[in-house]
Amino acid sequence: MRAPDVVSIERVTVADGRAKALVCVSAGAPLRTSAYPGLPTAVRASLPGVARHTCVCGSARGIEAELDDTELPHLLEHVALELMALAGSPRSLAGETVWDFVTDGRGVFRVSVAYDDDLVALAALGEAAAFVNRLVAAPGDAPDPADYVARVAAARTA
Amino acid sequence: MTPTQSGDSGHKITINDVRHHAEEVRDLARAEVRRVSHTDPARVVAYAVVGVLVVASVAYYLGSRRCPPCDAGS
Repeated sequence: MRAPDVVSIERVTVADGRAKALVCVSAGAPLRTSAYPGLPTAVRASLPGVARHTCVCGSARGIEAELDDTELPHLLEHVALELMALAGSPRSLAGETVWDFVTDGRGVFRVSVAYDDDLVALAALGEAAAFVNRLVAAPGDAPDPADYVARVAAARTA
Repeated sequence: MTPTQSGDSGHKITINDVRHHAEEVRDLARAEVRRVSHTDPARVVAYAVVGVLVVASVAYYLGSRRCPPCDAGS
């Protein structure tokens, strides 16, 4: 039986050169990656390119330390950016994760990524959510990222 | 003792009186120093703890992570 998804994308809008997703962490689930043993390590092992990412507001110790203890949707953002990069998008694309629990409710995050192809960005967000949920459920059984990348790349318009 | 005259009131102030007042003032000053030195650090710590809790609460409810472009080429 498949474990319930911890992160889910409720809505995606495309505007101003960004794909903006409303990402929810399921009620009662921990919000931070540090609460999921093995998850950050599994992400780094599957997608070593995330080590090349940067993050302004995160840990002063670097992106890897940041992803060891950050919000799940922030991890999703970096996974989406990496899937896009592996699918042929430039690494010059930026991302952002913001939250306002007072207005949106606990566990609701707004993740946005810039794109060179909006369909690629939409696919990357969806595949990133699936990727993170898969690793949350079974961090020791990392999926082949090539499958996810292939589906993102397939969304690219000619 | 050497009594001194205090103007036209006729009241005499002795050196002992002056010394006694000086000692009272000294004791009051010491007590005040003790009070300040004991209570202020506690207050500072309390204010700091409250400040940290407020910042942590705000950070929990409201926040952002901005991730600029990667520093490496694709």
